[in-house]
Amino acid sequence: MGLYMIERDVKIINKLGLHLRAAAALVQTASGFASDIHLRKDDMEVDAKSIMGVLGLEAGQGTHLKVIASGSDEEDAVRAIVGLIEAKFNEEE
Amino acid sequence: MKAKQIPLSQIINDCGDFLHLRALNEIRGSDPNIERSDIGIPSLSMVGLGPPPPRGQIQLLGKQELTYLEGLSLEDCTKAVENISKLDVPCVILTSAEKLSGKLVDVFSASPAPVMTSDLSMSQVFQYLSSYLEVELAPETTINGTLVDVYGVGILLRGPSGIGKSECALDLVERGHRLVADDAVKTIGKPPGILIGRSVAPLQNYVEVRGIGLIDIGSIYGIRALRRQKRIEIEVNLTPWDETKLQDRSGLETRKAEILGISIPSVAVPLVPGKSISVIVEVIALSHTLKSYGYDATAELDRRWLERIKTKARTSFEPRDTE
Repeated sequence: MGLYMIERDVKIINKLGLHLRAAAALVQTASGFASDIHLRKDDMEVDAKSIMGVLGLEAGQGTHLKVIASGSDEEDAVRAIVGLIEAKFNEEE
Repeated sequence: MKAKQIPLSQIINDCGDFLHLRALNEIRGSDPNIERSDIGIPSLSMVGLGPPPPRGQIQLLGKQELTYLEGLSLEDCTKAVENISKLDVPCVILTSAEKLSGKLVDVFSASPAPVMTSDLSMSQVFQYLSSYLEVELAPETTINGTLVDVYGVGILLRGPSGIGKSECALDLVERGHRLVADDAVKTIGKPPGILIGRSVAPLQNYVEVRGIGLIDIGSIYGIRALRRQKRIEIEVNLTPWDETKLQDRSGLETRKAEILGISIPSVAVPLVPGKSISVIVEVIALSHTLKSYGYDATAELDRRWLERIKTKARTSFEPRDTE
């Protein structure tokens, strides 16, 4: 656990939302970082490195999420995850 | 965490048939919310002696109250009902009300709060409704961990991602135990101190195994391997092996974990290659059951040791049993 913790809000904009393929891409990205990374939707917070957790958010298009990271590479981790979501998981629609 | 509340329509949907609920009047305005898991029996408020019922609490009237109201004049009866059927009362339920007089029907139908009747007794409605409300209004959280039912004991496997919680669950299922939820456990704290976990809806029956992906435990192992929800009794923390860290070697101390303000025993199991975690988890479950039956093996060993020291007993071999 790092000394700091950073949070950033992000909105799911791709049509299918955090479906299986998108969730897998997000988990893969998150797993590349040493920081603890969580995603929060309303009262529910899950580990961003767990595909079951991410799918369990049931985050469809238009959902607001909070990306929370703490650790040595928290800045990069949050930037990468927010970037992936904003790039619609690099999928064609 | 914000306080939970449930709309009246949900209660009618979930309990209406079971409790034989029938509406006496229409719900005026928006769907009222129930905010409290306790239920009011407003006899004193009704006669104008007590404070009015608190906001967001369901009110129950029984045979006694209805008989009393029946005996009043129309004017007094209207007044008594007004005392309890305020706008912020989400619902009044008349129990043992298979036959209501025309007067009571008229007075209650005119009330601003929704009124329902049931032919069941007050204690029947009270018991069912309060256990329903306790679960529905219980504080809730999602835990990163895997919940399995091992010999009837709910074991929550926790630890950093990738340490092998799901693999351990799979091994336990293979050995005849049951999976409740993998990786994300939706948990409620039911007063006064019970934790109940279940899986997040769309993930039910699935387990993620690194290298394979998502597998459907239900279709591979069938219903035997599954359980919808389970009380969480012990936390088993899988930790990486650390030579320098002190491990609990006696088992005399019980560590605790706290979830939603409820404390459960917690066991840390350090991992080493070749160690069978599922067997260890089974032993943890069985020894927990043994403890709950009143037998604590560690404490018993300690007692026996002290006893022998006191009596200076010797350990001697049996003379005849030498083969």
